[in-house]
Amino acid sequence: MKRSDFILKSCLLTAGSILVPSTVLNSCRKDSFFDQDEFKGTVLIIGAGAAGLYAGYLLRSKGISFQILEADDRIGGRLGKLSGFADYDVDTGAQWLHGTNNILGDIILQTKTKITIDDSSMSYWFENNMVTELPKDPYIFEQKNLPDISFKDYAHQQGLDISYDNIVEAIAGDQGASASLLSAYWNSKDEENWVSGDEDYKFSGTYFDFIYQQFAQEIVNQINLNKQVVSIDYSGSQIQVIDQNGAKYFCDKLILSVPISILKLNEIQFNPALPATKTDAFARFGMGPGMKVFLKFNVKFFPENIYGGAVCAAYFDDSIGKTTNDAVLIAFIMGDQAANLHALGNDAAITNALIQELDLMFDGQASLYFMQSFVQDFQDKPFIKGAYSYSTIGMDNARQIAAEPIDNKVFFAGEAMNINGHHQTVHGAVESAYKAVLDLITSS
Amino acid sequence: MKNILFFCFFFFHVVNAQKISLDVSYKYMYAKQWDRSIQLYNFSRPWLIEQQPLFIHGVNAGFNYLISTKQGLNHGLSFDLSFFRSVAENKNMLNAINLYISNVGYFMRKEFSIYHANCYTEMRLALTVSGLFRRVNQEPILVDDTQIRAFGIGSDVQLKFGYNLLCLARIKGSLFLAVSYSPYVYSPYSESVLNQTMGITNHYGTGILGAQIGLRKGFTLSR
Repeated sequence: MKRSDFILKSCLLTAGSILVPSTVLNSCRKDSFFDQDEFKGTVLIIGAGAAGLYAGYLLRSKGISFQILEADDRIGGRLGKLSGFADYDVDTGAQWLHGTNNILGDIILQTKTKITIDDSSMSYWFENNMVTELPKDPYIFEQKNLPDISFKDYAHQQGLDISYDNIVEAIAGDQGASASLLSAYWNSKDEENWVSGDEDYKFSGTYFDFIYQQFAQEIVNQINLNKQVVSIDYSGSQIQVIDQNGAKYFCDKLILSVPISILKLNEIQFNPALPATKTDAFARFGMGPGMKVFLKFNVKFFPENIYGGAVCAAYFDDSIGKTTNDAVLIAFIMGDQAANLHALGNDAAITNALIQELDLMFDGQASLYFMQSFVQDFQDKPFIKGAYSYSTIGMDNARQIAAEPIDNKVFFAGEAMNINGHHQTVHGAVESAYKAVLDLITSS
Repeated sequence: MKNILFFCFFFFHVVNAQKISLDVSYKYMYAKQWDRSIQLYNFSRPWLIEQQPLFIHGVNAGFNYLISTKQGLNHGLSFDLSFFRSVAENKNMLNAINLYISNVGYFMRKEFSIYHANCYTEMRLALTVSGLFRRVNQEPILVDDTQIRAFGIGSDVQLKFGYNLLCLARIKGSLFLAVSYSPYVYSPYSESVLNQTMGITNHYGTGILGAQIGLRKGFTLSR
């Protein structure tokens, strides 16, 4: 072989060696996971909470036709705001951004939304005294391999006697549950996937406004309020949805983003009936009563946060992170304590019970400086019926089963359906929404 | 310990010459699950005008310690480091993810001639370690005062073909092509760096396919 032939063939061999593998590898790496042009049908989203709104926003960006049916006369679900109560807008629902290493943190960064870290100090109502230090550390629930028993039982097992019960109740309340119902094991198991960060942040505005401005306002024309879905028939090629007035809606695929309490209570009839594994999974979820009571005073006599009340285990200073001259204390009440207050029957009685407890803690200053209150009782909300989902004893893989789509037609979203450890949060609801949209598009 | 000492003694006993070489190459990479996490990041954030690119093109630098044995079987130890970068600049947000992949391994080398050209092939088995780091606006992402990062570990097999270039004979230079495959690099936190979640993609590692083209510069160490 001539030298020139050899050089030519070598060059061809080299070029082929580069181009062939590159072509093969590139053909493997097309956007095969997310072929977004395949689905051309219509989608119905049930529920206009954070998950439903984000699912709609995402579908719109992908050019997919959709409508949102919301049972309530407003959007936001467990997000809400109250104007006029104080000299700033109050978050009546979710108000803390739990960590910034998440999708909402990215939006905040891009939009330069003002948030403030909530590093407020904690005081404890312990053995009828207000203290800043406790004899024993009550934060014992974040370790691995805890037993599948309740927070309360585990606390007792670890030597935290009944004088710590209300403090443990506050820690469990942060997870939306009574300490007697929240599983130490499954809760810590859920926490293993938590990557958002442990710092809590507050918006200088409200969480509701943030969600509305960033993605809800772009899809308001697709939202139909006062449409309570009572039945979903997914037996045919098209899904038929019927609302409380008998109006029928049809779609190719459906995203169900109602609170888990609605599914637990079978308030929506399915045809065919949901598989038993699904309903069993729903039943294993916890979602109990929850209440936020805003107490406005004309003097700030209270410390930033208080854990340990018998009527309300957790009080928070709402002025943290806000530009305000008002003194507003939030009573954050979950589980049994929320049920007890709910049983009092009216807002005045609930407020009175809380003021009495604060009077006990602060030598009567609460009733002396009290101005007004606002009670947000989520148990009273007919389309919410509770606070947020939590992991019960024996929870196991209920969350994963509950979140699985049915027949590639019905997809589930919402904070309870977040399978990556971010349930109970708004950003977790948003993550569940994009997961549902992804599954919907790629299952075509 | 005795066995290790014996092996070392035997290993160096059969050595009669030592060569080292330095490689510099372009590397093409396909890591399915890392692609998937980045695609999920882009999918879920439609407001991003500039989408986060996949890890495709990178650079690689390697060091090889070649031992020529009396029996003519060449073998040696190799170390290399690859660097990939995925950068997307959007309003108020410059998101940069750096990926480092390093291999430490053992290789066998066969030299031969094709049409009077001196060529060689090498097969390497290596331990792979990887590191993913995210920076936003030139700052490392700190969550609870800890930088978000994901390390991985796996194995890698590489086949390399090279031929000594006549034009680079004086510096003992050669051109090489290589393909490599890591069946599984276990990197459980990679999704948390790439998509800020853990558990959505349901994968805690990835396979990696690589192709390289580069230059080698050899040196001989006399004994």
